[in-house]
Amino acid sequence: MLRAGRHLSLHLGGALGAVVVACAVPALIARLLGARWPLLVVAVAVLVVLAFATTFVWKVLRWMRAPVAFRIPLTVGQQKSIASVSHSRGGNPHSAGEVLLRVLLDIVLFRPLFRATPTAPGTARGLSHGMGRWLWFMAVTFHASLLIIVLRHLRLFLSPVPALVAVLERFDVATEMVLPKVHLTSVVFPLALLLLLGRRLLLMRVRYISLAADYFPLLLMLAIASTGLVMRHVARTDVISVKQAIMGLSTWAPASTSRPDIWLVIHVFLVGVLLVYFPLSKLMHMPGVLLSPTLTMANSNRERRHINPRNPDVVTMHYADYEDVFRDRMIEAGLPVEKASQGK
Amino acid sequence: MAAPRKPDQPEFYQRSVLERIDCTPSVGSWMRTPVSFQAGGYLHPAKPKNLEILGLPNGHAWSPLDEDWKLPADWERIVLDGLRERLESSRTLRIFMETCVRCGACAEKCPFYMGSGDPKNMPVLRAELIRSIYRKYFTVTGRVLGELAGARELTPEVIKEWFKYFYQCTECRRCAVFCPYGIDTAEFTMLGRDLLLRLGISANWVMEPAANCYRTGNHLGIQPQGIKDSLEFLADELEEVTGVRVEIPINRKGADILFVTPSGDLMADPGTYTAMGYLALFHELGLNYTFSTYASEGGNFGLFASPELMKRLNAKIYAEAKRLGVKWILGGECGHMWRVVHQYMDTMNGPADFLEVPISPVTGTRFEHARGTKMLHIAEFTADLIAHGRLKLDPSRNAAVRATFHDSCNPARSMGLLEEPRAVLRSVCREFHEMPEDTIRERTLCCGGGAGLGADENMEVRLRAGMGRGKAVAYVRDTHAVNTLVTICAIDRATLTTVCDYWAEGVHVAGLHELVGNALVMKGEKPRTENFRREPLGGGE
Repeated sequence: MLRAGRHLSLHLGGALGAVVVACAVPALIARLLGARWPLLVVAVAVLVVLAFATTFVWKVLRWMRAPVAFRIPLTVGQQKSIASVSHSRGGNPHSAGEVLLRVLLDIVLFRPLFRATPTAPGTARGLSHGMGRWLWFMAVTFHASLLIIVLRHLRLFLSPVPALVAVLERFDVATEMVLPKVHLTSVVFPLALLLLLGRRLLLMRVRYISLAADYFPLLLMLAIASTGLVMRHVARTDVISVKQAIMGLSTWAPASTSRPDIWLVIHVFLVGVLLVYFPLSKLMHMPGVLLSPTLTMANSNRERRHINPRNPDVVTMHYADYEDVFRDRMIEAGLPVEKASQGK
Repeated sequence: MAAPRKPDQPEFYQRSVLERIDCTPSVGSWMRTPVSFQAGGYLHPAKPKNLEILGLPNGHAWSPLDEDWKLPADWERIVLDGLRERLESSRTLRIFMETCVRCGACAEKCPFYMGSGDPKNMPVLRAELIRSIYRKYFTVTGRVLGELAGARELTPEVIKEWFKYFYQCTECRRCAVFCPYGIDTAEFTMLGRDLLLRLGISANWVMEPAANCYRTGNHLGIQPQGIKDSLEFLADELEEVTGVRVEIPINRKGADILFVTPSGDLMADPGTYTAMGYLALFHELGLNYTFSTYASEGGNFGLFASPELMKRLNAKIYAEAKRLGVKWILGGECGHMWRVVHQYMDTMNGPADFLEVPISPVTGTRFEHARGTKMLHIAEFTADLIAHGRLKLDPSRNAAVRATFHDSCNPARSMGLLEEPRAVLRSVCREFHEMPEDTIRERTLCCGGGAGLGADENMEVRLRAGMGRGKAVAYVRDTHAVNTLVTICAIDRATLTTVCDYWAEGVHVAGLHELVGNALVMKGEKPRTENFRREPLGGGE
């Protein structure tokens, strides 16, 4: 177990260390910030977004530069073949529209994870040690609450606040009675992160495959969520003035002169770290899944030819050479040949 | 029964021992877990002569048990250049290298992991065996951070590990069904085997059939006169059972249809009964078809070695169709053959613009879904015949058969051929019981012996990987008195026979068209008393 500890301490320790540093740096910076902080924040934010966007696009373009050698859709339903057999559009797409349906089911609803039912009783008993649909549940709650949180934050950047964001905000508020209002996602998001982290640590086989790159985003997002919650419910950061400061900057009329809240500085810095890290990491599964050839290609293989631009020329055994070797035996067996025997 | 004591025999292994699976990963980092080889757990190395026949480099004598595998002098460069070349020519690999989040959803879905508990058989870790090298030599973080970034040095130990674990994967794609990104471990297995082959490291059970196929046209190395003899023998058998003498056209120019099937069906039980079913069906339909000796193999062990080798072996099918001047191609029951035909053939060796869209001469059905490749699966062909009521079938002749259906991995997950064989099966056999849902169709379990793993010397691997399937078969045997496992794959017919004998005693394996042939009422036939296996017909009670 000592060596198991070594694997864990390297990867979990490495990730934890990185997050601690990522928290400490802005905490130190916050002390140095003067009255012109909104300008600095915006300047850094622009750089971060640029870094994110350029790396993201560069990575995707690098993928796209390589050709899809073969069309290898993974079929999870009945193919389209003869009239008497009914075709599964969502499991075995044949057209572009059906591919879209499949993408919707697989990518938006996380269908592959939903398939993970425990092995049927009596068949392979003792073979199943999966967690059934728990991972699906964690993945859906995590991604859905992350999406809602990101959209909710748009109210800090957009004026007027888009109707969709306002509706989302109302939908997300679970406890109108309590003051201040608690967002559903404020509970669900950190909980989902903790569940995912717990699963990684407690399920031995998953711990065995986990790298620092797996712990780091979870811990980083936990830190982002925590600082966000502190701002909202403990430090009661005045977000309206933050918004005014930022919006004022965009019209070149800075409204704030007070030093920003330290929690805000950490929170924003960590988001910056996440954005810069994103395109360099496994988080690129976001665009990756949309390009995954097994999920996003139509299974119309025998109908439409897929072109591989690098289809290499190869040496084959031609019929003439084959017949040259076996001609006499073929003639003897009464099999037709192209050329008459030339004798031994 | 006196138990033989050799690791290449199923009897060598005790069920209770195989069933005791410890899934707790060994301690420490997987990168530091050394690889070991034991009898029953690895394939024999490819003989240099087989690589020579195929013109492949670096063939040499070595053994997995040796300390030194005698890799070529510049082996690191060969591997890394090969990896770079593959990455540049495959978006699929690029994406699969970088998108895995190691959620482990695939882990216990792999029949090899389920049956062995060896963590390196988790599909995610099987892929990491290569990803770790990719990170070290192709990413900045991997170069700088090393193990912390999941990167490691390429050492001879890595090559040994690759040989072990890429030959403990049947490329069945079950893991991909559960992967949120559809990451297909088969792609990594193919890549790993391709890179190994460049070093002259391969399995003889893959390279011998490939070399045979290149030279003689089929995996078993049957020469043209041998194919004729085998088919004539099957015709004799068929005549004795049915009283009908069938003609067998071979290498006949001017036929409408070229029929291609795995050569295994011509030589060994129980595949031969399936081949008899084809012969009976084609005769009864008066099909204008031909066998070929040059393209006498539907299967393609090149798929298990490298894309280039796959293309070289597959090229014969279109070349022969062109030479014989047929209109379209009909393919027999085979699993990986259909992976190649469906997903690779047209791209590699097409376009087949010299052929016509397949049209059934019996029903007139135009098979639009095959209008590009011009090759039809016999289950599609027969299901169409049955749907049009064009076959006279007497399912009571299969009354002794209580069937279940094993979806072969390739037709299920790389094609979606799920209901056609079931429709056929229901028409020829009255008792048909499905195995549990999560072991059939797209979630079908593994025969344990595909992708070149069907040898005897790795028997333990096969029995372990086949455990899930075997237990699902035993389940329907116990709950529905099932006695026959029907399948549409030649490798299945061989490997599942072993799996069933071991895990589901009393269940035998049959091809779909064996049952079709038994049920088929033929013109001019004598009263049937026996099935193709020369067993008395069980009906009548």
